[in-house]
Order: sequence, then structure tokens, then C-alpha cells
Amino acid sequence: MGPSWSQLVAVPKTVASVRLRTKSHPGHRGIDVVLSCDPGYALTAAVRVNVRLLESFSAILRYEPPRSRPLVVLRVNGDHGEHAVPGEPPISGPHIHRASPEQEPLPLHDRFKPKHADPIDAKYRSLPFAWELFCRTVNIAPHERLARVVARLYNEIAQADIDELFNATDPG
Amino acid sequence: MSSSTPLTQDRLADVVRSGFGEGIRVSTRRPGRIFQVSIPAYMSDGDAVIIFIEKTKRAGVLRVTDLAHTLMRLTYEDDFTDDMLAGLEALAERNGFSVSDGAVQTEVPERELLPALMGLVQIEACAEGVVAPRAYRGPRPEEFRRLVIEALKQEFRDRVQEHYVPPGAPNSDFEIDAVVNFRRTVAVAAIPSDIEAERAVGTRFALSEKMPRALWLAVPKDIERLTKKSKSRLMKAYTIPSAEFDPRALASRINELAVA
Repeated sequence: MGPSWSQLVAVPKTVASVRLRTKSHPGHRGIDVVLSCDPGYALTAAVRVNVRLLESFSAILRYEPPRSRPLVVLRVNGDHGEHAVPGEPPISGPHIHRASPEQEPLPLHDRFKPKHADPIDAKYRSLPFAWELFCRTVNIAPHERLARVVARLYNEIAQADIDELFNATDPG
Repeated sequence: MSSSTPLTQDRLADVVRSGFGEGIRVSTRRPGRIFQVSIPAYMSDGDAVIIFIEKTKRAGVLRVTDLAHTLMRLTYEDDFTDDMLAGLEALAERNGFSVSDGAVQTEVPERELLPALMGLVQIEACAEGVVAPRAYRGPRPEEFRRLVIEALKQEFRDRVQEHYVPPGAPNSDFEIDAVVNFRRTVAVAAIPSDIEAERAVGTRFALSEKMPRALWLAVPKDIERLTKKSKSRLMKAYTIPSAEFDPRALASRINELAVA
């Protein structure tokens, strides 16, 4: 049996990769970092930001079980639209994907998805704020350089968004 | 609806509701340019399917697009690969869409908006179930781990036990890539990357009490490619026979340790 969702979230983590891997993929940008923790689990933190809608992003805690497919443990989402919590009305805006209270103490199974979601304050439509919340939530020690890289990525996309606004022409 | 009428949220909402009913919402993302359509259809993690309508430069023609969200979502669990993109492109084409800069999209006259919206819902739902599993290439470090274990087996044959979890291990995460059984057990960790270095360090400390007499050996693919921090943690926890994987150096070091 592997670790439980609660263990993976609570274990104190530090950023192991001083070499940050920023990724430029079609339509989105990303950052991936390897995390260190004791006891050691194979955990990475990742950021994905949409280049056309900078308020749509995810800060992701990913766990790689031995010889198995990576699993998303927790995600802080910006504002991509709605999320449905089973049995409740859909929520809009920023939210945290997590295990349900019943799942928290259980070992992660190989098809686990963090379906449960809690809404969070509207200020977390901004990635730098959401990143800070993500690090606090999953217990990653503050890493100033990484926080600056996240903020820079966000600012670059924000600038492109502003440029697009001013370049937009009315075809009518 | 005339094609010369300005594109507004209310106008789009009327068109969309005429086909889907009142459970649909249209919201403005970028005034006059990008609108989001919310319909009660959800992905396996509870997020709604992501549909946008974007203004084009051609009068009366709208772009129905996911603004590259489908591809972005596929990279939450797996690394982006060309196979992933090719799989999405094939799926989009089968449904009359194309992929441009990561975005699944099609351009349609306003009267054909509703079928296009349905097409995009279908693509997003299928992408999760079809593209993601096909693009998955298996556990990333497995190839290097295989090489190391094969090298051990060639030299030490039946003494080698793969994927060893000692009795009483805290959980199945703490698995040793291979042990070589001599008078003292030699525990071997294959290290192709930073994350595997971190995993190995964790395993070493978690199992120390369970295997107090074991000798711990790490085999990096290339130690200079590890980050300073992971390299330092690995070197504190393990003996490293060589900076790069060298089967002869590995066998020789294990033989030395076994008779020591």
C-alpha cells in the first residue's frame, strides 16, 4: 500500500531542482520542479498557464508511484470556468482540487483524481497569489527564486494579453 | 440574427439557449472578442468542458475553440509529447476541427454554431479517455533501471532480486530497484534523474532500520546532470561507484563491498 493523500500533502517539502525547467508548449507555458521531502516520495510541483487566458492556470502537486503512472494529488486552479462538486451546485472561479474528506486518509489508488473542490477567494485568479497559496497548502518551503520565475511567467503572458487587446481591430 | 450586429454576450446566449435550453450560460472573457459557454458537461475531475467562442475577422463567422485547454489539461499528469499532440490532431480532424498552436478549433457561420459546440464537447471528453492513455509512454525511468538490473544479473545472476520491498517496510513506495544478496545485502538504486535521486534518498532513510546491515549503492546515469541539491543528498546517503553508469565499475564495487 502506498502513502495516503494526507501524507503526500502534509509532508514538508523543499524545492530540489535549482535548475528550473520552464516549458513552452503550444498554447500554454509551464514550469516543472522536483521536490525533496523526508520521508521521500517522488513528488513534483508544476505550473501550467494558458497563454490566451492568463487567469486560467493550474498549480499542481504530482506524485509518481514506483513504476506507475503519475497522479495529480492536488491542484490550485485559477478561473477556467465551472467545476461540479457531486451533489452540490457548480462552483465558478478559482478553486482547489483535492481528495474528498473520506479519501484523505486512504492510500492513493492508480486511477485517483482530485475530484472534490473547494472555492477560494477571487484574488487567486492571479497566479503569483495562487502559487503562494499552493505552496502553503502542500507544505513547500518558500523558494524566492521560484516565486520570481512564476511571477515573471505570469507577467509575460499578461503583457501579451494587453498587446492583443490593443492590436484587436474591429472587423465590422 | 444579422451578421452585422455587434457580437455581445446576450446575443450569443440567445443563440446557444435556442439549441441547448436554459441550463446554458454565456459569459464574457474578453469584451467583444472572447466568450465562454458553460454547459452542464463535466470531465472526470469535475471540471466543466471548456468552450469558447471567439470573434474572427470575417463577418458572420465565429471560431469555436478550447483556447488550448484540452492540451494543457493533458499535461497535468503526463509530459507533453509529440504523440500527445498528434493524437489530439487526429481526434480533432475526425470531428471536423483542427489544432492550431495547441487550440482545438473550427470556424463556422453563426447558424452552424450549435453543432460546432457539440463537436468540441465530444472532442474534449474523448481526449481524456483516448489521447492521454495512448500518449503515455510508461514510467519514465524504467529504461535506465532495466539496463542497471540487466548488468547486475549478468554478473551476479541468482543473487539479484529486483524491486525488493523488505518485510515491515512503511509502504510499497519504499522499493529498492535491486538487491544483491551476499553475506551483507547490497541495495542498488538506479538514478536517471533528480526525481529518482529524491526517491532513492527517501527509500534509503525509510528502510535503514529494516535493513541495518545493508550496503547502499546508487548508480547515476550521469551524476553531473543532477541538481546540486539532489546530488549532495544522494552522495550523503549512498556509495557511488562511478559518475556515469559503467557496468564494470558497478560490478567491481559490489565485489569489493561484498568481501569487505
